[in-house]
Amino acid sequence: MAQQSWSVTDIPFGLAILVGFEMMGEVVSHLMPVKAPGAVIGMVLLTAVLVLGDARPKSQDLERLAPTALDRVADAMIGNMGLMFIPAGVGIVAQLGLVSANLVSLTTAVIVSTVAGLVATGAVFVRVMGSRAGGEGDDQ
Amino acid sequence: MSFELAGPLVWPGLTLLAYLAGRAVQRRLGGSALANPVLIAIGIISGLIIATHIPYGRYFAAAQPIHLLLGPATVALAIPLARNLHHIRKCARAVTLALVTGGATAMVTAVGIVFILGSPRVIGMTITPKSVTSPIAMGLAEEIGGIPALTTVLVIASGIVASALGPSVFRLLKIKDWRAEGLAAGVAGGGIGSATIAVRNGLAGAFAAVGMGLNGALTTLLAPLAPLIWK
Repeated sequence: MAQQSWSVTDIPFGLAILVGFEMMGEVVSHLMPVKAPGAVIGMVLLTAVLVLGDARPKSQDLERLAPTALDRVADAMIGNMGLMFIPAGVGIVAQLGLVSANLVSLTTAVIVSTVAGLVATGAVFVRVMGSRAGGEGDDQ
Repeated sequence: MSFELAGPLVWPGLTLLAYLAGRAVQRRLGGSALANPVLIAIGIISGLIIATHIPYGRYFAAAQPIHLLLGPATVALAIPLARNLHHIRKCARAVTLALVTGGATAMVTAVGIVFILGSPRVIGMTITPKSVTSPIAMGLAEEIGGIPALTTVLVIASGIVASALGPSVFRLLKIKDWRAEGLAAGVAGGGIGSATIAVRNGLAGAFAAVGMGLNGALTTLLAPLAPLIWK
């Protein structure tokens, strides 16, 4: 991807797009009959705008769809998403009694089910595709 | 506690420092995925608020500036998704079948294990939505009678397990396909799984975003069945 000049003034632009789509997602979520979080709806809306907004949706051109400022802010946020989970995760201190009473059950269930989910998803995907190798990626 | 005299930024500040400390520990341990920075930081902050007798609600309210960034960060997954959507369209059938199988497997094994190991109904309802991204999971937990705060912790734990064990699992399965690994990370590891793999490979990040989003929809449909297990 071509490196373009990057100035501090671009940060509010990229952030404003992300925050704007999150808010739009929240509004849409309130209008929908089923419960869905605004952020996920916002993600779908932004994807649609990025893809449909391009007049030439050819694969080689797709990587140039998103403005550079948005790219950089998005990369920084995705790369540090773990930080944003900490406040909710500390919520475990309010549940220590329940967690310790079910520690073995919860730990076993989380580890086994996550690995089973990884294996089932990966195995079915390669089985249907008929190949164990592929998907080199073209954007990084 | 007296260090709250440092002003309203003290808890966001300490959260940031704990995260940096977690990353430093991980680097010191040679980048081991088991020394997860999020887990370490949660341990540090939890220890701190327990030691200083600060109620969790007060910490959480103060740490809102960091918590609120989760929304825009989730929206940001649209960028790898849009960039790689043409790859996903090419294998829509495989994505759909893998997603339904993987999502259902993760949910059924989680609920089945806590049921067999004799945990109460509330634990079952809490763990049912744990493989999807936390905003969806919390809403579902509340709806079927679980504890949303504990669901969030289980979502994070699943994301950490998926990030830590994913590379080994795929090495053992002899699968070298970023699409499969990304989709699996999104389906089984939610937001943390997606974010971790998006950093390693953009194509995998796109498949993870799809896996996370669609597994949210699938789990929303399946989760209401879980209360039927506990009579």
